[in-house]
Amino acid sequence: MRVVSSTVHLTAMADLQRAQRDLFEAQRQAGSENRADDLLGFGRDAASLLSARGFLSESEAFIGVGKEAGARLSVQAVALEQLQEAAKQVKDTVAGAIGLDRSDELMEGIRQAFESAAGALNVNHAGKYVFGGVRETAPPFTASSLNDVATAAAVDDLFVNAPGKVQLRISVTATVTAAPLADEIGRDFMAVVRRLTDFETTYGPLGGTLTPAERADLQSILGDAGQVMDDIITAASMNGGTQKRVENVVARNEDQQIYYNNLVADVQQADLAEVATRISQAQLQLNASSQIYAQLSRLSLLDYLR
Amino acid sequence: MSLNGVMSGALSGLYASQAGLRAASNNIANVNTPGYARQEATFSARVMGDVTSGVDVDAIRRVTDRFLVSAALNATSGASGAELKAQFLDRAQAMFGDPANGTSLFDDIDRVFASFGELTTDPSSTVRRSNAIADVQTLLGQFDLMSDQLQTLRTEADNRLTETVNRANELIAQIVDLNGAVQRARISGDATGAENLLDNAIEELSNLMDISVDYKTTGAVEVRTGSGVLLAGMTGSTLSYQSPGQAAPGAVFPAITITTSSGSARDLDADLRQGELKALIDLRDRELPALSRQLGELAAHTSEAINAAHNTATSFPPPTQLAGAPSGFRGADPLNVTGGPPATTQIVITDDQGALQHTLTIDFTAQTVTRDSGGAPVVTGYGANTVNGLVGALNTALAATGAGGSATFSADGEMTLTAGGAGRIAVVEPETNAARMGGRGFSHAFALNNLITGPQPLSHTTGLSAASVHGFGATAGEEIGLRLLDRNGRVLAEPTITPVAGQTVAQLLTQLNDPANGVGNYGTFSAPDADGRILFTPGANYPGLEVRVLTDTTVRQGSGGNSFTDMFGIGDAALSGRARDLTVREDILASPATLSLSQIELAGRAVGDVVTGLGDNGGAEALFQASNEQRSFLRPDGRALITTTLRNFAAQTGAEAGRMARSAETTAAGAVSMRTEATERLAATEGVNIDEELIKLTAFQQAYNANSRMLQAVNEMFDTLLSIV
Repeated sequence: MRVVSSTVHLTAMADLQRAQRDLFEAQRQAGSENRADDLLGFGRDAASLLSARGFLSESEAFIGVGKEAGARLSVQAVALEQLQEAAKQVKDTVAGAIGLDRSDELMEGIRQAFESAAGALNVNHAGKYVFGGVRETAPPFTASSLNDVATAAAVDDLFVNAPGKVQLRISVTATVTAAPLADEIGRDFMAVVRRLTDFETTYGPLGGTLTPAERADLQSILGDAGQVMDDIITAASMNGGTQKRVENVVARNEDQQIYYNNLVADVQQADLAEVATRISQAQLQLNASSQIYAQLSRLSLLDYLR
Repeated sequence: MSLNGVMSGALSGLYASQAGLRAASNNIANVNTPGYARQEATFSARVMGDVTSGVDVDAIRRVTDRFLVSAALNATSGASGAELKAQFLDRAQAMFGDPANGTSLFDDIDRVFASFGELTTDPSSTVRRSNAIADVQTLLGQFDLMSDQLQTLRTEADNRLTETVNRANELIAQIVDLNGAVQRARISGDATGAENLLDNAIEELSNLMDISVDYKTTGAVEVRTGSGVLLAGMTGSTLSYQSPGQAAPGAVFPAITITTSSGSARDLDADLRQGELKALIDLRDRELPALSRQLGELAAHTSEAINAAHNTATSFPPPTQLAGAPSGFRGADPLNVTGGPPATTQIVITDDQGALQHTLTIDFTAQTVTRDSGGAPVVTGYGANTVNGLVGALNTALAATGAGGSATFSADGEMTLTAGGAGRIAVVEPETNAARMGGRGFSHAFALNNLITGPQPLSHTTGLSAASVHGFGATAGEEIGLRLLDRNGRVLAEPTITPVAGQTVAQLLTQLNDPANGVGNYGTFSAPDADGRILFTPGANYPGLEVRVLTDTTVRQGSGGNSFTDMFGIGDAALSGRARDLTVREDILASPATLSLSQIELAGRAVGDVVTGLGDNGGAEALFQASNEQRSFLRPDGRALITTTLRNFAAQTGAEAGRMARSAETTAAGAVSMRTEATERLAATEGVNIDEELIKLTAFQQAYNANSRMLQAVNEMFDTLLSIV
C-alpha cells in the first residue's frame, strides 16, 4: 500500500488530538469528581442515577418529617407528664383529705391540679395545639377556671378538639398517630374534677371534719382518681412508644439515605485512582504521539537530494 | 536513419520529460490539497510505419479508482448525517440538565414532592405552602421551557434543511457546468483540473445526501440519488423546499421536491437514505418529536398525579363552591363508572369551622343518593344515567338537606357544586369502592379541584365508551386529516374523516378504520378501553408506521371544545403540547391558603363533628406520596401502556434521552471511522507521496538531461559533417 505524505501529518495530528482529548476528559473528571455532567455521559447508568437521587430526596424528606414528629412527641411527653402529675395531685389531695379527715385544703389542691392539667391539655408546639386533633388552631380545652367546670352542662362540652387525629407518614410504609386527643386524655380527669366541684356545691362551704357522707363520696372519688392516673400513664407510655418508633424509623431512613448516597456516589462519582491512572496514560500517549511525529517529520528524501 | 530523425526523437523525449516534470510539480504543489488526485503522465513509443521514432505523451491522467471513490462517497454521506444527528441529540439531552449536581429537570420533580412532604408536619405553615407552590411553578416553567427548546431545536434543524437544500442546488449546477468543461478539456488534452473540481463538488454533495455516480467515457458524470433519480448530468434537477418557519408541537412539514429538467416533480424525502438532509428530516420529524412526546407524557403525568391527590383533598376551611374546569364531558354523556360495586363518592357540607353538616353519598351503581348517616335514599334513579341526570339528582339531594345549594353543568363541560347558605363543600373519595371515571375519581374527572391546569387535556382516558355519542361534527366542515408514513418517511395515505353528528364513538372508529377511506389498510385504532382510551396499532406489514395529524377541525360541542385528536391523544400536538403553558390554578397561586392539604375523614363521624381542620395533613400526605402511585404511561412509541410509578417513569425518560444521544454518538463514531477508512484507502491510491514524486522528478530530470545531450551530440555531428564539406 502506498503511503501518502499528507496523511502522515493528518494521522499524527489525529493521534495528538485524541491524546489531548483523553487528557482533558480525565482532568475534567479529576476536577469535578463526577464521571459526567449530562445524561449522555452517564449512559446506561442514567436511569439508576436518577432513580437513586429520587429515593434519596424522598428519604431526606422522610427524615425531616420524622425529626419534626420527634420534636412534637417530646413536647407531648412533657405535657402528658404534667397531666400525670396533676392527676397524682388530685389523688393525693383527696387521699390527704380523707386521711386528715378534714376538707379545708381540698379545693385549693384541686384548683392547682386543674390549672396544671388545663395548661397541659392546651399545650402549644410551634403554634399548634398538639392535642386538638386535626383542628390545631384553637385550644382544645375551653375551661379556664374550676367554676367553668362546675357550671358546664357536661364535661364533654369543655372539649372542642376535632375527633380526627393527625397522622404523620414517616416512611413509605409507616404512619404514626401524632397525638392523642384532648378529650381522650382529659375527659376522665375533668370528670373527677367535676365530681369534686359538685362535692363542694353539695356540701359547701367546706371546712372542718368530714361527715360520713362526705367521706363516702371522697372515697368513691379517690377510686376514680386512681383510675384516671393509670389511664394517663398509659397514654404517656403510648406517646413514649411512638417516640421510640419514630426514632427507629428515622434511623432506618438515615441508613437508607446513606445507602442511596453511596449508590449515587458509585454511579455518579469518578474513581479518582482510576482517573489518576488515566491521566498518566493520556500523558504518556501524548508524549509518544509527539515524539513519533517529530521523528516522522524529519524523514524525507529531500535531505539526500543535494 | 537520418540525423533529423535522431533529433526529432530526442525532442519528443524532451517534451515527454517536461510533461512528466509538470505532473510531478503539480503533484508536489498539491501535496496537502484535500481531495486532490495525483496526476500521471503516460507515454508510449512513437511508431511511424514500422519504425520507432521517439516517444508520445499519451495523456496526463488522474490516478483514481472509481470503486474506491464510490465507497468513499457512500461512507461520507453516512458519516456526515450521523455526526449531525449526534450533535443535535447531544444538545437535546443536555437540556435535561446535569443529573449529578441537582440542577436537572428530575431534581425539580423530586423537590416538588419533598416540599409536599415538608407540609405533612406543618400543613398550616404559610411559608411552606408558598414554597411548595413555588416549587410546582418552577417545575411547570421548566417543562414549558424544555418543550420550547426542543421545538427551537426542531426549527433549527428545519432552517438548516433550507440552507442544505440551497447548497445542494448550487452543487448540482456546478456539476452540470463542470461536466461540460471536462468534455471540452478532454478533447484538447489535459482535463485533470476540471476533473478535480468535479470530484470535489461530488464529494461535497455526498455529504448532503446519498448519491451514486456513473462515469461516462466522455469524462462527464451522471449523479443520481441513492434511489436512482437523476440529480445532475448534462442537465440538472432542482430541489425545492418551502419551510413554514417556526416549529410547534405537531407541526407537519412539507417534503423536499425534486424537479427534473423535463419538469416532472416528485417528493424526495422518502428516497433519502443517509447524509445531512436525511439526518435533518429525521431529527425534525422523528427523534426530536419523540423526545417532545416523552416530555409531554412526563409533564402530563406529573400534573395528573398531583391533581389526582389534590382532588381527594380540600382546603381549610373548605370552599363555598367547587367550580370545575372544562372536563371534556358533555351533559348528555353517559356515566361510565368503574369501581365498587357499589361505586360511590361523597359530597360533604361543613360549616366554616370544619364541622360536618351534611353528607350526600352517591351510589353510581344503584344510581341513588343517600343523605347523611343512611336511611332511605333521597334520590332513586336519576332519570337518565348521564352527567345531566347526575346533576339533577344532586340538586334534588341538596334541596332535601334543607340547607340549599346547587349543582350545575355548563355548555363548556364545567361542573359547579355550590353549598347553600354559609355552608362549605368538599368531595370525599371513599377509601374503598371509590367511583372512577376515565380512571379518575369523581372530583378529578370533573376537574373540581385541580392544582395544575393546562390549555389542553392532560389525560387521554376520556371516560367514553364505544356506545357514547362522540359529539363531533355539529358544524359543517369538521374533519380530521391524517397522514400515514412508513418507517422511511414515505407517505402511504392521507385519509380525511368527517365525523357524523349524533353518531357513537364506535361508528367514528369504524369510519377511521375503514380500509378505503380511513387507515384500515395500514393499522387499527382500538376500541376504547374501560377508561375510554384508544390506541393506534400499525398492521403487521407496516412496522414503524407513523400517524401524523394534518388537520383537525372537530369540536366536541358542549364539553369545552376539545378536538378529537386532542381528546384521545392522537398525534404530536396532543401528546407533546401537554408540557406547555401548565400553571398552578390561579386562585391557589394568589392565596396559598386555598392549597388543599386536608382530607375529610367520615368514618365514625356524625353531623356536628369537626371533620377537618388546619392541622389536617391528609391531603399533604396524598400529594407527598403521589409520585409513588402506580400509573399507566404511554410507551415512547405510543403503541401500548406501561404501568409504573411517576418516579420510575421520570428516571426512564431521562435515561431514554441519554440513550438516544449515546446511540447517535456511537453510530456517528462508527460512521466516521468507516469514512476515515474509505477516504484513507482512496487517498492511498489518489494521494501524493513526496518521496515518490522526488524520485520521478529526478528520473525526468535525468531523462531531460540525456535528451538534451542527445541533441547536443547530433549538433556536434552536424558540425563535424559541415567542417568536412
